[in-house]
Amino acid sequence: MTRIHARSPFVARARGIAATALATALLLLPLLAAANEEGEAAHGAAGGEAHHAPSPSGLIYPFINFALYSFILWKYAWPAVRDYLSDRRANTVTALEAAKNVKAEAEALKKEYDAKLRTLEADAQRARAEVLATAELEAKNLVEQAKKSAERIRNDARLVADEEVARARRELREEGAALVAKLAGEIVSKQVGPADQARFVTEFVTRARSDAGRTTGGSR
Amino acid sequence: MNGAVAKRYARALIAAAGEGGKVDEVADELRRTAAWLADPELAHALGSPMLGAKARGDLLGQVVSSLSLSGLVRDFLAVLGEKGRMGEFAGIQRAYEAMADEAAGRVRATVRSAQPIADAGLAELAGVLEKIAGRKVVPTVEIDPALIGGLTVEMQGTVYDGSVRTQLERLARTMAKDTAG
Repeated sequence: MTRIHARSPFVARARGIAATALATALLLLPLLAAANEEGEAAHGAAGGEAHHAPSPSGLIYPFINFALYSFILWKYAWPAVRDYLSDRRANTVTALEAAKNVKAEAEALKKEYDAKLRTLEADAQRARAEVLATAELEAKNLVEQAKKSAERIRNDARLVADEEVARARRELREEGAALVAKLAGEIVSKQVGPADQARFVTEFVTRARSDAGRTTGGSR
Repeated sequence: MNGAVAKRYARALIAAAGEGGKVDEVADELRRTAAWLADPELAHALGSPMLGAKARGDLLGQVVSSLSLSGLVRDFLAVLGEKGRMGEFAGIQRAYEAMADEAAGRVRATVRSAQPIADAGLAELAGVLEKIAGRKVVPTVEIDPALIGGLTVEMQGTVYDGSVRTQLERLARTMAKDTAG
């Protein structure tokens, strides 16, 4: 809305108009009073007589007064009034244009919000669908990962169990073989006599002799 | 033990013994002395810096007199006592023996046997070992019942194993491996 400032040209012009009108009224007031007194005097003097026609001077002075008044008004008051009305019209047109623009902007915003409101539900549904789809996918992935983890744990457990069984079997075999060797050693040590020892020495010598040509070192 | 020091002393001793042509005799005396000094308490006392030089000398003199050693070995032991090197006597003795064997062109072989070996068998064994080593072999026999039967020979850093114990261990390993499949 357009606001008229106290110091604007419009206010100054209005004040000028008011001052001119006041000055004119002050100038014309004695003349009007003199004319009125003159009229009444003439009317009183002819009280008992029949009415007669006014004098030419009684018509000329009011006319001159009127003409002066009209000239002053036309010369000084009318431009101010004209400018005031012109400015007021321009201001009014400007205000109307501004209001029109504001209205157009408001209507555009309204259309935009209407459009948004129309798509809001669809957007919400689409977002909800996307969230649901994402959640389902993540749930599916979690299930898949859980299955893979379970399978891996199962395989690891199976491998560990197999390894444990194999290790137990290996240890059992080694312990059994060691026990057999120990028992055999005990039996042999009780039965080995000097003759056996002599035979061992002979066998050792025979084998050493056969290996003599290819001895290169290290434990044999 | 400082091997370099032991070799230095052994080299000096064998040089002195070689001048008198008594390398083997000195080696034998050193071997007897080493066996005597194998007593840990005696070795510790002779090698301890806490014991004064005179006390060590007196102790060593008693040892020397009981072993009827030659003058060369007695003097050598006295030098070791003065230098505080008695703790390295065992290494010196081994180094001397190795040098003496090298000089005589012979090698030593340690024969470990579950039971005593007859002289004929030992001679036959020494013969084949000399064939392997390419020089004279001096066998030293040790009895080790843990071998159960048979024998092992350690010569020039090589072990020749013909013991029943090792054969049984191989048999046990083979059994463990064969039943694995």
